Amino acid sequence: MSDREAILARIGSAWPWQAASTEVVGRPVERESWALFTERLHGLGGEVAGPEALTTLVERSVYSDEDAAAYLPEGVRCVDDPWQAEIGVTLVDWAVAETGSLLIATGSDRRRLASLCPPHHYALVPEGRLLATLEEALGHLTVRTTVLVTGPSRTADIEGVLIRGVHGPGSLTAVRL
Amino acid sequence: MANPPMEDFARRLRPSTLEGIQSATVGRVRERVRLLPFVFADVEAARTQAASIKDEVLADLGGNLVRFEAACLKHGIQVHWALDAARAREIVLDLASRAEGRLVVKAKSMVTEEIHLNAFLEAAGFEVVETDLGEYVVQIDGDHPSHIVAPIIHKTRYEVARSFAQKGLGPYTEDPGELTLQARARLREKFRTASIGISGVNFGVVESGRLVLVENEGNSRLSTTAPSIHIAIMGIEKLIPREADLPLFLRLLAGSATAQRMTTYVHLISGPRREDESDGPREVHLVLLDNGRSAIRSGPYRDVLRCIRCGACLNVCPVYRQASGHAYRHPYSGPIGAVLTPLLEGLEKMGDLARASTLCGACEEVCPVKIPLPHHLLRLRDEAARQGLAPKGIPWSRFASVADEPPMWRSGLTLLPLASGLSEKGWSEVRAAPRREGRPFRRWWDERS
Repeated sequence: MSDREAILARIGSAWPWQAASTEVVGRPVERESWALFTERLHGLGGEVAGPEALTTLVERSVYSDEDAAAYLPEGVRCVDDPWQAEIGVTLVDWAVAETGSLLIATGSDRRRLASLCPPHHYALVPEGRLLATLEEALGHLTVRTTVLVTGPSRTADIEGVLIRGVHGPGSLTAVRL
Repeated sequence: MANPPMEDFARRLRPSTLEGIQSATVGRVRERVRLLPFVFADVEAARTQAASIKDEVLADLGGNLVRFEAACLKHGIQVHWALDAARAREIVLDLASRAEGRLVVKAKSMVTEEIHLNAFLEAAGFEVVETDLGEYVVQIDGDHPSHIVAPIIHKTRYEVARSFAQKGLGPYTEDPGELTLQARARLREKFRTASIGISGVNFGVVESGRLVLVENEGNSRLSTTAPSIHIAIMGIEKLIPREADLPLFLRLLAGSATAQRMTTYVHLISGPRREDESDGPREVHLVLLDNGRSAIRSGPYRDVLRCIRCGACLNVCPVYRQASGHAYRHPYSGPIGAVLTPLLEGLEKMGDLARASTLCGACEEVCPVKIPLPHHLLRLRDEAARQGLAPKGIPWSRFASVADEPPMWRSGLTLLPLASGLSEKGWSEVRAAPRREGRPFRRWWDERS
């Protein structure tokens, strides 16, 4: 008998189940979405900026999503090695006001390591891509592998002291296009 | 029972260790209590709902696993089934042996602790590197994690500083930020060059075949993105039925574990890199591990399989705070460990854990999936007693024969103060007898009028 058959045999048949009659609602937040998103991301140690923030990338080494490259100003040094780049630039699919999160899917013009390896992450949020709740954002999941990023990389493993930038980027800037 | 009581272990802990555990757990409890009402309009309803959804999964666990497997295969996730720890280790070794390199990077995973994977792979010639900061410290110290979520809650910064300096990670420093940077630098080289990444799974979504991994540091994403082979190991109970259930569980886990609205990274994995993608693993393997879970499901303790490993019950537990995670002699510590470990490893070997509880009920109150832990602890004690595994203590039968006879009881009360030897020796090794104060109630009652 294979392990699969053995496990399924041990589990045996199903038993009836009755759903709980509760309904879960998130705490409603009556705030303008960008104000809330900004407040949440600030609370996590991230920044929200306008497109002019991209001019600070000039002369610096950048590892970028292909579909984000069009937004980069001239003079940015684009590199092909994510481990050597100072800044990673990605285009986000959705931003979430409630949690200050960014939903980023993989794809043909995307690079998974752009939001992960360089010490600074610039995430471009196009017009109309901000959603109020996590439910709405996760409702937009596609068949592609996706990551939900909420603030800079962090740890509190040593005596509970909060440290940013352990393995992922220590700084995160959401750029509102 | 032959096991040394947890009390002995607790008594040997250093004050600095106890202080660290105390402040970290108390702090986490306070933050969680403060945050959750801001996340859910009704926290109680959220817990009830989550418990119900996990029960839904467990009710038809076989059907759900088969559907989940089919959905995973559709994405190109290769699925392997392991009845026990030995089989899971063999599967992982077999997969890892096909890789070009011998370097394995590991994301934090309790289930790999459960099956003792690291030592096994190392004996087979692999270099296995834990990449979560806390787990990395544990590994270079030859230690064990002492908390489900915070592996080095039992260590001070000074201990970490000494270890790092000894292992040549950089110049001696006691600054947690500097220490973190030293570990980052060392581990980046590992991520870059490893050919195999191993992780656990927080949630497997049945309808979509998606593997959901949550973390704060980025090491789990790196371990499951940079190497060409990703092997995920998952207990068969870790399913949730629908994608629509994700927001509830993600919020509950982040809130209960670390008092965050959302963990920094939620990695939603649906298969290896696709043809049009430039990075990501070329193979994704999923090992579905039973290792005693199917047996637990068919017994009276089945709802421990709802557990989402948030560690909230550890943080509130007065026994955990005094004894530390190591006292539980197993990766799963605290109240959940006191129930789960005897079920996984046997009452004979681990049944004493169920006695290490005050039955205060705090663990059940905070559990995001409402596992009735105190109830299970009592049941385990009862089972242990029936199997003759209970410890020798006060001969309660003799007490009962005295208490049953009013004349005997009255003379007993009169004689009690004379038995002063009792209060010095104590009731047991660890408990002092209460001191008698004033006069007996009966005399007061008689003299009242």
